[in-house]
Amino acid sequence: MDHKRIEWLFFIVFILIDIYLGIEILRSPVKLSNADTGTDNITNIRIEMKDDGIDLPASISNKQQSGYYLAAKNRDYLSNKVSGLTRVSAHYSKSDNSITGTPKNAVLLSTKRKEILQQLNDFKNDPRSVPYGKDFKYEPSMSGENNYNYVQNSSYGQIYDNNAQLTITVRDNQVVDYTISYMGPINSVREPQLIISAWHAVRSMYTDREIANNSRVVRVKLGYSKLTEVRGSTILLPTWLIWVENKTTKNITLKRVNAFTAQILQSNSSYNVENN
Amino acid sequence: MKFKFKLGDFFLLTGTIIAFVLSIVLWIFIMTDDQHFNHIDQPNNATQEQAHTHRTKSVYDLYIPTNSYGFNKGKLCRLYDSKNNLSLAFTKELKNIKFKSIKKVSSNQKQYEKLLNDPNFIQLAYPDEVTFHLFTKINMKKGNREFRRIFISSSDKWLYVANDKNSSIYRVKLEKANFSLLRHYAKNAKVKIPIKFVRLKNDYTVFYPKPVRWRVYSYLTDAQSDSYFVSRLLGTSNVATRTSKDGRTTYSLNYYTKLQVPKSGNNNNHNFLYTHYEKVKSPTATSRLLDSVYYVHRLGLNEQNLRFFDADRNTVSYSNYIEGVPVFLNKQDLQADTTFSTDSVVLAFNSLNLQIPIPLDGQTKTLQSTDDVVKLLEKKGLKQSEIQRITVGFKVEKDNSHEGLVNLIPTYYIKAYDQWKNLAEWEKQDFSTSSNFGQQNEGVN
Repeated sequence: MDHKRIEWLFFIVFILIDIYLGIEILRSPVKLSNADTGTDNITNIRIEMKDDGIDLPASISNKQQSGYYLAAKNRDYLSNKVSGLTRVSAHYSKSDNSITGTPKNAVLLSTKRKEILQQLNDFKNDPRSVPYGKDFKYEPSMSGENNYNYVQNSSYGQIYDNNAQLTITVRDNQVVDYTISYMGPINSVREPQLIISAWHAVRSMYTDREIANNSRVVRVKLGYSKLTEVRGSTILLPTWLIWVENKTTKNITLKRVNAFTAQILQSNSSYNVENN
Repeated sequence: MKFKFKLGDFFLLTGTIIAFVLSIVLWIFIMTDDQHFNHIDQPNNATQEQAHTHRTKSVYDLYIPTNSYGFNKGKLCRLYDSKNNLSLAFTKELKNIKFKSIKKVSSNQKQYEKLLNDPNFIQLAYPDEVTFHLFTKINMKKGNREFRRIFISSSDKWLYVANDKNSSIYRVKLEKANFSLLRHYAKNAKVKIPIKFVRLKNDYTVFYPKPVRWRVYSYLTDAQSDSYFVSRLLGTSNVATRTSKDGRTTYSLNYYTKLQVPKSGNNNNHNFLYTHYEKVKSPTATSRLLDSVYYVHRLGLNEQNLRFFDADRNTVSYSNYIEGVPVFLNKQDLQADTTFSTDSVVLAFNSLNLQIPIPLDGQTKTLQSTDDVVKLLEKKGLKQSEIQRITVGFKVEKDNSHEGLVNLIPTYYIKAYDQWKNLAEWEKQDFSTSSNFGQQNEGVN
């Protein structure tokens, strides 16, 4: 009888040891020698971000793309367009190189957003109303209920800058006015080069502590941002634009990551070299 | 009843044995897994390993073909398009491709030259030989596993790769390849400059049979401080400083690692020299290339334009490539040059960073034909048989109109006696008084 008790004791002790060892294996720490680009690492950073209360879009691309250094000649493209704007009362502002236009005849809009967008599209594409309107593309992330924002488009991509923007203000289902600034034709300065992936940009922002805890990454998009002004031209570079929403205040901020170097573009860090 | 009791005993015994054996197995598993973590304390192993695990990213970025060639109206041309980068299109596609097999099909020089001039292929070329192992783990049965040129056929199922040095051509079978975009770019390339391939000492070099007008590019430059490289390469503690008579400061960490920084002030040529003493097994060509990538990454230079440029027996060098043309700093310095020997690794590097490209202002420079350059050098005493390579490179010249502004002036660069110098420098060289010039310099590399 004693022999059998001892056998039972051994059996239970070893089962407990097995359970303990099994749990240890499952809890084993993360391997430290993973490559940055490895899928394990991506999962780990995703988990870390989740622990910090940071929500991410369902999928962020891990694919490398290519981008250009672009340049636009700094000229006044708008002032001579005012006389051609027969359907609006237009005013050119020299200080910020923009035109503000108010429709002479009411531009009535539908109540459905989809239809409104189509109607605004027709309005902006009419050169008698908006100069260079066809060069602008609707940007939902920067638009509100009464403001419809458009960014300057080019064959290389969209430009996200105050000097390349069209804002149409709407009230009571009518176009109130619009303000437009225009950078002019965009050309590449050098041949295209490899840029970092969208995921790499988000990861860089997180590791540089540029994404606060308890926030939501709403959208990640590739767009061009101003780097500097040199020899009378504005130089643009590819940037990952990351819209981050504070979960408590619901404020959305737009952050930019240099897509060549993965460095965060500070809005106050301009390399202003020559204005002309 | 008695029978049941015995069966219970049997199961108990079996269960105990299984639990016992299982606990040993699990324990061994944990112990062997932990061994993996013990390696973390060995920095050399860990860092070397890291260099290799990083390879999918680093290698593709630094080992991008630098030039592409195709045909226009039956003539062989260098292809260039400022809007579409052919090499980049190929490199992007390379990431999706599966290599099925590599087979040597020829090592005949005539066949090789026929392929170089075959209008059915688009050619992408590295500046020097690279190894298959950088891109695929497929084992080669024969051959020295190096190549310099890639020939894209009209089929996506195979391509040729070729080695200038021994005229070997390999047929590579592919899966999941799609080169239609590359073919489209090649067909519609904006600039097509007629060229011919001429065999020099070991390799085929691009010759421009007629004078060519080249663009002059400009950049705003900056450079990282000495302390940036000291902290990256030596760390921040236990670093000793010593200044030599010629004014150059050397920082050292223990006896094994040191960094010589450039002179400060107006004479700053941005040249650094990092030496790390360590016994190294004689490396293979692939590991030398990969290890050099690791060291170059450690420097923390801006790698946007950095590409593999040249490899000799023990050295691997990297240069900035602007629109397919390498940039030479100072007189003939490269951005990074790694030299491996049995007891040390030496990195000569330059900290000048071509930071912001400036739009073209229409400035150009016309260079004479390559044949004329060779004739000129022969007159000066440098025989064609001694020339290893000729390339059009950019010479960096300061533009005094703005601080940090430089112009990249197209110039012929020639490699002979294992040294790169520009045409003007070779012209100054007195070959008549140093008939043993070659022997003198053979020990350098």
